[in-house]
Amino acid sequence: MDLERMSKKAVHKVLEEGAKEAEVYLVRVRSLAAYIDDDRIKNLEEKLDQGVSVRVLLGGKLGQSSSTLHTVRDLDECGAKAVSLARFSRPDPYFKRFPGFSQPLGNVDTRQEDAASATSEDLRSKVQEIVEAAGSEVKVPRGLLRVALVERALNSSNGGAFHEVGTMTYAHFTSMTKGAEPGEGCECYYSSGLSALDPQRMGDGLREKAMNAQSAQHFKGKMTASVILPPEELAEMLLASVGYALDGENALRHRSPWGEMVGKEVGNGLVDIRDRPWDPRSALSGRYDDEGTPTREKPLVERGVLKTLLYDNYHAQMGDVNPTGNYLRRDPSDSLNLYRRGGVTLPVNMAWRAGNKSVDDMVSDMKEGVVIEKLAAPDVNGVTGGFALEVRCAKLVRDGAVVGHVDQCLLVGNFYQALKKVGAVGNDLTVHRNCIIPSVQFDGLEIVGSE
Amino acid sequence: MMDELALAVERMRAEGADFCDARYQVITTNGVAVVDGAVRRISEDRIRGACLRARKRGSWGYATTVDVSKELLLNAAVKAVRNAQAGNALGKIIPDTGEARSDLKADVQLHPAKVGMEEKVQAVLDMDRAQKVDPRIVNTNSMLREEVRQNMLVNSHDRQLSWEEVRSNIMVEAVASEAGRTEFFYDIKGGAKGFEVVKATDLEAFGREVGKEALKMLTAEKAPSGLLTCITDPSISGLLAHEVMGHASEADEVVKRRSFLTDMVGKMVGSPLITMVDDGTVPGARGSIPFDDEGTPSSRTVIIKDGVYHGYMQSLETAAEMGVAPTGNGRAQSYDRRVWVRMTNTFFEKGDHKLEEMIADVKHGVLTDRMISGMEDPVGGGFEAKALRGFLIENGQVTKMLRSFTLTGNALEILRTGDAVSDTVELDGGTCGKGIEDWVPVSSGGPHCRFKIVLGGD
Repeated sequence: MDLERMSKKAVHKVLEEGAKEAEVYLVRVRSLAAYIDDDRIKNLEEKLDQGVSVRVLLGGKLGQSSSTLHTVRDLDECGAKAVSLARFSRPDPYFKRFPGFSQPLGNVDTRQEDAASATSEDLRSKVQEIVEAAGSEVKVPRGLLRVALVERALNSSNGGAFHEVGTMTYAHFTSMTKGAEPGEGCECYYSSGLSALDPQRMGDGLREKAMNAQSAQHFKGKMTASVILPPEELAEMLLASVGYALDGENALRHRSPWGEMVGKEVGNGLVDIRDRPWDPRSALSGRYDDEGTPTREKPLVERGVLKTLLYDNYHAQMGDVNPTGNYLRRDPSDSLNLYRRGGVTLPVNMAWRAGNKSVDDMVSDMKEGVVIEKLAAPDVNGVTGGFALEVRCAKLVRDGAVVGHVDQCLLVGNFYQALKKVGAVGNDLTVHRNCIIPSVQFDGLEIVGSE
Repeated sequence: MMDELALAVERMRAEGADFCDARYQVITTNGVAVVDGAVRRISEDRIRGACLRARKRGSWGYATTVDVSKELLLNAAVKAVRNAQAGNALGKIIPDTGEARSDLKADVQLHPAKVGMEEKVQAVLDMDRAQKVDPRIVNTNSMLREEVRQNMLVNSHDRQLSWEEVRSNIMVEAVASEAGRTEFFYDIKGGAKGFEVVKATDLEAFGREVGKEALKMLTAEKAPSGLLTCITDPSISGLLAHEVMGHASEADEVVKRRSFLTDMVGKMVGSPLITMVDDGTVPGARGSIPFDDEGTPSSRTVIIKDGVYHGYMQSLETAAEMGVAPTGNGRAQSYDRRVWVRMTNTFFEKGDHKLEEMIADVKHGVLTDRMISGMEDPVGGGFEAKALRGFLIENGQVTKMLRSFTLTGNALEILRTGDAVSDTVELDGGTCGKGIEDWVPVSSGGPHCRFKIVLGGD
C-alpha cells in the first residue's frame, strides 16, 4: 500500500461522509526485537504493524478514530466512525482548521541504514556482545534491543501533507552482581541508528553500576548538598517538569508555572536549553511534527530566560498564536500502535548546552554532595515542581573525592527552584529519550535517610 | 478465526515448536474527555491482530501481524518458529495444559455497546461542571474511558478459548491556584464493569468533592521527613503490596534469582498481621480476568499468610520450571506484546483494627491519602511510593493537611514494623508496567496499615 496516496484518498472519502475538515495520519512499522533473559537469548520478535488515525471537524464539532489497517475497508470504517462521533460532540470554541502545507524549515535524514536493514541475526549478535562485555562478575537478567523502521504519511483537507521514513533503536539492559544481596545496574540507549551502540561501553557500565550498587551503604540522617544528576535521570526529570511547563496548553489552562514567564528568568545563567528537531542522533527528529507543522530549531531557555512556550495546532488556535511544530505521537523506545496514541506537546529534542567540565572535574570541585547513579523513578510533579525520589545508588563525595556509595534515601527538592541553583554543567552530552543533555550539578538539594 | 488460529498452531508444530499458541485480539477503546467545560476529545480506537508464539527448548519466538489472512498467518507461524530456534535459553518442557473449550461474554450489568454516546458525553460534562466550586479552580478535567477486549486463543495442547473483557473508568481532576501556588486533586472510579460505573455514581457530588479537595490542597504544608509512624491508606498499602512484594513474587524473577524473595517460602517476611494475595477472580475489580493470555483460568494466589511467605505467581513456563501449577498470571498488554508473569488484583487482607483506634495510638506520625505513583524493585526490595497528600497526626489527632511526599525504605523492614491493620479493604484500579513498558490493567489495595517508614517531601 502507498501510504501517501492512501492518505489523500482517505481525506476525500471522509469529506464525502460529511466532514468539513479532515486529517488522516497513516503509519507503517516493521519492528524487530531481541530479549535477553539471564545472559541468554530468550525471545526474538518480528512485528508488522500499520494503522490510521482520522480527526474530523463537522459543524464545528471534533471527532476522532483510529484503527489498525488491513484493508481499504478498515480505512473507510475508521473515517466514518470519526464523523459519526463528531455528531455527538459539542461545538468547539477554538478549533477552525488543521495545519495547511508549509515547506520544511530544515532537513534531517533519520532513516539510518544499519537499523533499517537490521535482521534478527544482527540483533542476536549485538545483545550477545553486550552480555559478554559485562563480564563474569555480573549477569544480565534482562536485556532488550529493538529496532524499527517507521513510515508516516499525513494529509489534511487544508492542504497539510508530509511523508517521512525514519528508524528507531532502543536498548535497555539490567545487570546484577552474583551472590547474596546483589546490586543492580542499568544501561539504556536511544537513537535513530545502531552504529553508536558500543557493546563494550554498555557492558562496562552494567558491571560498574551493579558493583557500585552492591557496595552501597544505607544513608543515615539528612544533608543539604550539591547533587550531580546524570543525563539518564535528568532527562526524565526535565521532561516531567520543563516539558510540562513549556506546554502551551498547560499555560492556557493556568496549570503551568511558566505560563506568564516568557521573557523572564526561570533559571540561572547555566540553564541553556534549545529545541533541536533536526539532530540526526535522535529517533524523534524530523522535518515535520506529527500533525504536519514544520519543526524548527529554537531557544527554549537562554541563559536562564524563558524564550517561548510550545503549541500544537489546537492550542495555538486557542491562544491565538502560531503552532510551533512540537506535536508528537511518536516515542523513542516503542513504535507500535502510533496511530492509536494521542499526541503530546514537547520539545522534539530538548538539548541542554554542554559545559566544559567532565563529571570528574565537577566532583573534584565539590565540597560535599552526591553523584546520582540510579533513582527508582525520576519523576517530578509538573504542577508544583516538587520531587522526593528514592536513591537506588549514588556516589558520596567529600572534599572533592568519592568516599563511597549510598542508597535507601530520598533526594528532595523543587525542580523549578533547582534550575536557579545550577552549579555546573558537564561535557558528557548523551541522547536519552528525546533529550540531548549532559550531567548537571544542582546545589542545595536535600538528602534524607532514616534517622 | 478460530480455525485459522488452529491451522497456524498446526504449522508451528510441524515446523518444530515444542509448544506454541496463536492469539487473535480486538481491543476497542472509547473515550470522552472534557476540559474546562468543553468537549476536547471524543474518540474510538481499535487495534486488531494476531500473535503467533512458538517455544523451542527455553526460547520463545514471536511474530505478529495485523493482516490475518490465512497466508500471512501461516507465514508468521513459520517466522515465530524460526525466531524460537534462533534463541539459546534453557528451559523445561511445558506440561500438557489439557484440552479446553470456552466462549465467555463479559459479566457486566450494562455493556458499553448498549449505551448511546449522547448519554456518555453528557455524563462527562456533568462531572466537569460540578468541579467548578470556586473561582480559584482554574482548570477542570473529566474523562470516561471504556475498553472492550475480544480474545481468541488456540494452543498446541488443544485449548480453544474465546472470551471478552470489559473495563470502564471515570476520572475527574481539578486544579486550584491562589497567590502563585497551584495544586491538584483527582478521583477515579471503575473496574471490570460496564456503564453501571457511571449509573451508580452521583456525578455532581463526584466532581464537586474533587473541586473542594483541590482547594484544601492550597493550604497543605510540607510533610515532616525521616523515619516516622505512618498509617498507609488503601492506595499506598496497595503500592507496597504491588510494587515491591508483588513484582518480586512474579516467578520469572524468581527462577532467575532476580527477586529478593527467592527461596523465601516458609520464612517470616512481615508482621503476623500481614496476609497478601493476588486474586484475578475478584468480581468487578479492574485486574480480574477469566483467563490469562496463555489460556490458564485466573485464580487466587496466597503470597503471604500471617506474615509467612507462601508462594509465587506463575505463567506456564515458570510453573514448568518450578514444578508447580500455573496460576493464571501469564499476561500481555495486547496481541503485539510479550507475555510475562504479571499481577491481577494484588492486596493485603483486612485485619481487625478500626482506623480511628489506629490514629489515636499515634503520638507523632502521618496518615497518607491517595497515591500518585510507585516503583518496583524486585532485586533490592526497596519501596518507593509517592502520596498525593497526607495528614499530620499529633497526640492521636489528625491536625494538618500535608502536600505530596514520598515514602521509602526496605520493604521487609517496613512489613516487620506493621502493628495494626484496619478492618476494611479497598482496591484501586490502575495500569502496571514491567520495567518501563508492557502495560496491563490491574488493581492493588488493602486496608489502612500502620508501619514505620522513611518520609520526605518538598
